[in-house]
Amino acid sequence: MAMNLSKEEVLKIIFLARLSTKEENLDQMINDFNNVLNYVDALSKVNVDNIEPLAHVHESYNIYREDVCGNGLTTEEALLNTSDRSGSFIRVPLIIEGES
Amino acid sequence: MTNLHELSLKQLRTGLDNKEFSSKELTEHSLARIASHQELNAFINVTPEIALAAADVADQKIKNKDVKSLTGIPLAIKDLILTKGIKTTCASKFLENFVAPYNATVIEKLLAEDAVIVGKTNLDEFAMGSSNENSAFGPVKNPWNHTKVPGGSSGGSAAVIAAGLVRATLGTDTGGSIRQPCSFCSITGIKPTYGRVSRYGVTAYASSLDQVGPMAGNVEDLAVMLNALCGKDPLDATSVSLKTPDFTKNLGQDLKGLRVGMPKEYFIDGIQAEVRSAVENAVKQLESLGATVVPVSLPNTEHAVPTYYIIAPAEASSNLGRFDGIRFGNRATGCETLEDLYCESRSQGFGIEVKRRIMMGTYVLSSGYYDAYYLKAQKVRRLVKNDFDKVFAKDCDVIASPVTPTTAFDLNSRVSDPIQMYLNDIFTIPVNLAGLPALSVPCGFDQNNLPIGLHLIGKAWDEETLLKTAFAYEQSTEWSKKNCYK
Repeated sequence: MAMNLSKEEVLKIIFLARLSTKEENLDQMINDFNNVLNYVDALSKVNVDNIEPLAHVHESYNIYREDVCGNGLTTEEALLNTSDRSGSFIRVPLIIEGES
Repeated sequence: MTNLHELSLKQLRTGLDNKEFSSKELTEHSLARIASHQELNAFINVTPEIALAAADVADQKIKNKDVKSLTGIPLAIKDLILTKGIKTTCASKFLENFVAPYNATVIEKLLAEDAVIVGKTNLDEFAMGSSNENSAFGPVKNPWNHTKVPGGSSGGSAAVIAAGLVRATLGTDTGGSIRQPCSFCSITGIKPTYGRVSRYGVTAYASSLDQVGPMAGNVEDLAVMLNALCGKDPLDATSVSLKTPDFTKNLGQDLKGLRVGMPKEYFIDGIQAEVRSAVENAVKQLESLGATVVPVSLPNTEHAVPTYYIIAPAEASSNLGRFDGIRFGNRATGCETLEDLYCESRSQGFGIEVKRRIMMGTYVLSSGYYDAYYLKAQKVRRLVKNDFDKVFAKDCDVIASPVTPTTAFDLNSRVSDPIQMYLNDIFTIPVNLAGLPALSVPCGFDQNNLPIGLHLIGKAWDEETLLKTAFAYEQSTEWSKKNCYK
């Protein structure tokens, strides 16, 4: 079933994955991507009629708890690893157009 | 005190408690060996000050006879696991300077046993790899032969035990990342049943497959470590509420009545002849210890690797979405839009294999391809699990197989061929898809003196039978006694 994706199609995936389309090894990345895609395509031949998908090996169920306060990170701890902060905020590029 | 590194955890416990040596002396010995084995590149970060301070506290506790299972014993941690106040890089340039503000639950558990953490070990970036060559901090060398890979992704955690730098470590296993490096380095390691050990604070690669586990020099040490790690954690909804047995309790029991399954799909053409014969001999040894060997079939084995390379990248692409360059990690400069900031920060910070998997995961989850790839893979995953369920329901108690088709391969020999690299995990991946426990125990060497591991797979929640079987095997053979300490 699989066929090689074109450069444009792979570039679209790169953008959806929030990687850079200006990658140095772009041709190699496209080539590797197509090789792996062709490899995993072996599954297309497996008969899975009447088989339910398995997302998780154990039964999953909701876990409820009382809504009580617990210890979390302090603002300082939460901001410890950001490289561009302003007071107790993280600075980011302009998101909403308008006055900055 | 020159042979402290040759003592087992049990011997270290006795020696420390009898004041034959102090935790400070033991820790200094470990740090000195780490310093003299830097050519292995097995550590990303060594923490002598933290370790020596912990050793002092441990010595005080030992003096007061306030002793836990790991009091004063030096351990090393795979650098995928968050350690408060100590850098956690995940072997990624993206997290080069990241210092976690909290500990993973498994770290809290080790600290509650008064263990001494000496540093963070090298790995494949975000645990994506089978050779430890995908590390932003360079590859680890196999202590048995420096031209060979140590395996991966927990390559550093295996190498530091094989080289006699520490006695036990933590690894993680998503598709074989504990068992394969153990096999390549002639040590033991167990991937517990999915849900046995908390994943809180363990950087997520593929959440439905990831599991933390111990690595050690022998099976008894492994059981001591596992005792410290297990249990339900309210911070990880996938951890399971089951009483943790004492995993050392059944060690030494005989193997009478044990049924060992040999799946024909795991003894295929293409396996290195010496690996096949070492594993077949190991199974004969289990038979001579009282076990019965039964041929079994796991017919969907061949589909496991492609299934894994859809499911794991899908989960990875989602998990790694949090690496946006804003709250933590690498932040690209000079970006005018938020989108550019995301793309550039990630592109600069991630290595090639991580990008490959994020791209594949993004594709198989994307509109129009979800059913053909991701949903299909989830269905095949059930077929793989059904195979195990069937044989464990009626045929056998444990399954024996090789850990890997070959012994450790040459550094740089497979990096340019992702699929060849992926096939290395053909016998370990099905276990993660089914969520089962499995371990690796040394069972021989090839003609180049490279280690071979015996893979034992168990029923869900039955680590005890696995450890009992591995212990009986280990005690009746000489393989685990061989070392490459320098």
